[in-house]
Amino acid sequence: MSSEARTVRGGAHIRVAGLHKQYGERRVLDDVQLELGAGEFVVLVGRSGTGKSTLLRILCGLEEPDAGVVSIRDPEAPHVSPEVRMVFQEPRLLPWRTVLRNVRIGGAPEERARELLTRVGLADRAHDYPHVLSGGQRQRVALARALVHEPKLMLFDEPFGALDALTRMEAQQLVESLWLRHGFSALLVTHDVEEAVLLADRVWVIEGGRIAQRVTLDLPRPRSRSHARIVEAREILLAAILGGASESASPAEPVSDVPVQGLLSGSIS
Amino acid sequence: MTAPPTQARALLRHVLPWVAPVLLVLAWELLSRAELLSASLLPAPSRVCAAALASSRSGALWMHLGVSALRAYAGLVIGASLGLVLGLLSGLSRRMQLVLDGPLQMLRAIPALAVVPLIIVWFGLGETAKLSIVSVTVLFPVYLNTFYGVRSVDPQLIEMARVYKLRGAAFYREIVLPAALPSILVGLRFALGLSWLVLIVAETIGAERGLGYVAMTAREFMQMDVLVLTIVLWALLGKLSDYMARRVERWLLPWQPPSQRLGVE
Repeated sequence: MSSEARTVRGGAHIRVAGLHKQYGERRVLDDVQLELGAGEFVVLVGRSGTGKSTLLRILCGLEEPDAGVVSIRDPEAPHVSPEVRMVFQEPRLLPWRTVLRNVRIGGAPEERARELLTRVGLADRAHDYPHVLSGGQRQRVALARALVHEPKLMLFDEPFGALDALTRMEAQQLVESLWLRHGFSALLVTHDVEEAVLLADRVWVIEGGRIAQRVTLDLPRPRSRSHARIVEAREILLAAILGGASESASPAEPVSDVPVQGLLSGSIS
Repeated sequence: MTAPPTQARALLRHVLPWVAPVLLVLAWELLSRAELLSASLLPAPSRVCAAALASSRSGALWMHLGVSALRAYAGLVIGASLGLVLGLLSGLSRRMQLVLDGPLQMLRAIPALAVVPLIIVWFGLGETAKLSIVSVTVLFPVYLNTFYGVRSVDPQLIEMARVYKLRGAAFYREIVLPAALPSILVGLRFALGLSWLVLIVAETIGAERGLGYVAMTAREFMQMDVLVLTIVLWALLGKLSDYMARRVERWLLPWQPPSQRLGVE
């Protein structure tokens, strides 16, 4: 991993084994196994209703699994349970609190909140109410609010889904730069393949309640969408996802691990 | 040069609400002058104004209004506080809802006039009787809207609060109460209007002063100009209550986008 821009490392280490979740007759998560290294950025892709969001909701304690083990551990502080924060698809700001008070929710010091607002480019909007901000600005406030307590694990549930294309690109870059700087572990749900390629160390394709494909993207950061290797990785990932879809007909198919780095270095020279 | 459109629009916004009332009063005055409206059925606006002036000069008008205002607002404070507390209790706890909601819904269905005899028996003819009628009447809109406000907190925000570890008092202070406040204020607005309306009932109980008393005696002695004056006063007081409710709302809810505010300015 080329990570000279990376200043801090030290996110949580996540291990999930035998995770099951069922709503009535519908199996949403079916024996999910996964491991996410400290400081790693993993993107979960998959069609709607494949259990991506449910997995995130279990990880942040909004839902209880029916069976299975979830362990979230900070290797540097093994006896403290690490802070986990989630950025939802909607900003979910409190309309009755100013931007600054929204970031300070849960008792963050003002100075720290202002620092984070500066980092997301909204220092001058601290005293505005959310309703005067644009959708992209609100989502940036939500990012600042999530980061203010230095979480060890950040969960993103389609955080840019409601943004227009241009704002989405800016937001993706912002998330990458914040991740590089803060070094949290990140798990992001999306159905945008390009977003996956721009952000992920690894991409997991979830299908039928389990992780059907794992793709490693060893590409330099910060990433730019016009970079030839990014464009290529996108094609390869898309092929892997679509291929995975056809393979899913045979349930005995083993989980594939496609190293994109190797494929790319072969084709670039 | 024509005025800039924004100025013209602002002018229009201030003028339009007055168009209907002014036209109505003008038509009424003209019809009276032409003797198409009999003075014994409906006195002319000028005569009502004269009655208002006379009563205002003697101080009687202000004395009656003051007494009524005291009753209305004291009753409002008592009733709205009770409604708020009961609404919060049954909004926040399912068990309290089971205990409180049924009986309150039954009480709500009872017309104020029907309980007047009981109240006289219990509290006599004094201020307690009048205040209790006002209080009980304004309790229900505040109760219902508080309950509704607490129950309709955005579930997405509740989830967010869970992820951000907001618990106990902080959860209610940051999420539930502010979320319920717009709805509570709607209840308060109803209550404010009702507190004046119900005076006509409350001040039938052994009152010697107050707007309701004036209206009643005017009715008995066929003083049409005074009777119409009390009706006009009620209309103006209603408008005033409305205005006050809106100011309170502006003051307490500075975060609301203009489109969500009650009514238009």
